Amino acid sequence: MLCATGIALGRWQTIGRDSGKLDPVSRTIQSAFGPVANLVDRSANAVSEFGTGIMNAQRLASEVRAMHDQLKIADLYSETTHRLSAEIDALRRLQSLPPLPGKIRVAADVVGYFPYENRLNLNVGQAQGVRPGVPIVCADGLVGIVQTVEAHSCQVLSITNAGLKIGALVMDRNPSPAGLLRGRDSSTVTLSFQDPKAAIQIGDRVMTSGFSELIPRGILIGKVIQVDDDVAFGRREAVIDPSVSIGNIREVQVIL
Amino acid sequence: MKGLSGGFVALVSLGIAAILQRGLSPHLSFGGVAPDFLLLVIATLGLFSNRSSGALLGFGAGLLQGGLSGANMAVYVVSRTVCGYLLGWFNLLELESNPIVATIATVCVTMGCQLFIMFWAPPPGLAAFIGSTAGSALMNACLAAPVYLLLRQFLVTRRL
Repeated sequence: MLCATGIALGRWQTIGRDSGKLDPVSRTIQSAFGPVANLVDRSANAVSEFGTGIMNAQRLASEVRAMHDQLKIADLYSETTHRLSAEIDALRRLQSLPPLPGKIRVAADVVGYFPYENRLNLNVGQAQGVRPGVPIVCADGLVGIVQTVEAHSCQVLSITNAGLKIGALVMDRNPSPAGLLRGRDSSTVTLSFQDPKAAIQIGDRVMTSGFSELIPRGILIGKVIQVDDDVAFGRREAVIDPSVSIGNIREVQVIL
Repeated sequence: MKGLSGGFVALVSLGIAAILQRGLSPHLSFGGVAPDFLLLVIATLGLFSNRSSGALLGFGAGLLQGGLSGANMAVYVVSRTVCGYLLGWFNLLELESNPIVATIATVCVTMGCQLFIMFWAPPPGLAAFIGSTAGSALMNACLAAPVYLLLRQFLVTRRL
């Protein structure tokens, strides 16, 4: 009888299937056990994935390490590319500097930088015609003045060096107030004017004055970022932010 | 069926087996071979049954199997019912059942039911079907002893 019932149920199931529907018995069974079975299925999946993770932990860990390494390499590559791109831009600007009448430019590399002493070493010297007092420029402006010269190298006082004193002009004014430029700290220089009423404003550009045989006029030094008046001594001082970032310079030109 | 609790154990066992068959069995599949929890319940619980309760147990298992899988219910119901009946008939011999007997019975029930299906509705890949049947029988056999011992904890003083 049970077998006959089973055959009848099977026939019922087939009829339902032919009409595109699930027979009531199958539907009841599936709705009764389906949700719980699905829950078991999901749990088994989670356990399976956990087990797979445990089994493959070593491989996954090494893959993660490899990916971290690749990421570091990619970051380094990106950083290097960015730096080289900036260097190429600087070189292009250096190449496109206007000619200075009566002067020649000698290309040089910075081979040493001493930030606390505000000094640079270049790979050119007497053999290339370098002599003390000549200016060093890069694409952004004045870097410093040569202090000592060897046969194939020289040492430069950067413009932020307190021992450096050069004449400078505020070019954005007419007439241009002239003053004496001196290093102040590692990142700024001061421009002192004897005239306490010197017409200067924050943002004015400062350039070399050219009141020297060695340093030509018109080399950019920086911009005024602060103006101080010394009432007691009747003096006006401007704090200048150099246009050159000394620590980032690789290639320079010596103006001879 | 003797005893309401025996029937309750049978219903709960079939229910759990159905859930495991649908939810867990595919995850235990190895090389296309998976355990058949409903057949395992027929084989182990059938050792505590007589012919009628064995047949009823097989009928329930077949109904659940057919309903859950969506395959032809008749073939599952008839094959399971016949196997449950035969197992109940085997119990008339009054042999002492133990885990080893349960293991052997599980192998026989699994192979018997699946071969029944093979003759009723021959599958396309006959060799693969026989291979997976043998694999399922082995997997069920591995599970038979612990399941039998577990069921015996509930049914040792009674026969269904």
